[in-house]
Amino acid sequence: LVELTGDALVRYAARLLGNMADAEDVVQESYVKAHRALTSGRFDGRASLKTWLYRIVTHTAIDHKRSRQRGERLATSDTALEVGFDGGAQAESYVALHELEQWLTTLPVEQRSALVLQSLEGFTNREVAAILECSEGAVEQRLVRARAALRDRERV
Amino acid sequence: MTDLDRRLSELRERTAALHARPGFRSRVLAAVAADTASVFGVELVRSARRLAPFAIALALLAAGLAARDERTSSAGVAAIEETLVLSW
Repeated sequence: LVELTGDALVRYAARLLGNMADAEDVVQESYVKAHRALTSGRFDGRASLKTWLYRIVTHTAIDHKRSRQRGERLATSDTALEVGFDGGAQAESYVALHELEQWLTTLPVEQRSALVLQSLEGFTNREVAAILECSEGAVEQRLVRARAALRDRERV
Repeated sequence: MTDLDRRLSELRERTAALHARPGFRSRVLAAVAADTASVFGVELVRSARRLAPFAIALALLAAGLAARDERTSSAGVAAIEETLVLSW
């Protein structure tokens, strides 16, 4: 499972959190939660495994982001560049991740997760709703607000 | 396509090569193994706590039975001794 889904989930968490170190921590914690749920029979199979894993990562990332905002962890948006590079393509990705973080940093985490899932991960609104456990209407509202906030920021 | 969509699309492509750093898989497996061990320990303690009242009740019952048997056997020994004394 880690082999199959690890890179995609780390990429998603990185886009959501803005740096690789936190992304890996969050995905690792998510796998532990998923393993615990699978072994205790708490995965009921109502959602697909992919949706379920993205949901766990999203919740864990949101918790992580909130705890960081509360000052429990001393991290800045510059941490995207703190991690060691492992190749040219990765170096360019880290720079792009840093730009993404700078751009999306002011968005509330609910809006950011909806935008990242839909526009960067390529999920449909219905899939985003399933991952975020809200209605499609709520997803659309979050996307409209996120886009409006980004447009306003561009104008300033 | 709006400027916003263009920028999102560009950032999507430029971050597409992101992947977990070497050693990530083994770190995850180690974390899962550590969690499994700690969950097992917690379950063990929880089960032991759940069984503690039954164990105490069982111990008291055993002590009660032992005391009763002790009295019975003491009376039996006394009766035998009396019989022996009388026959002597």
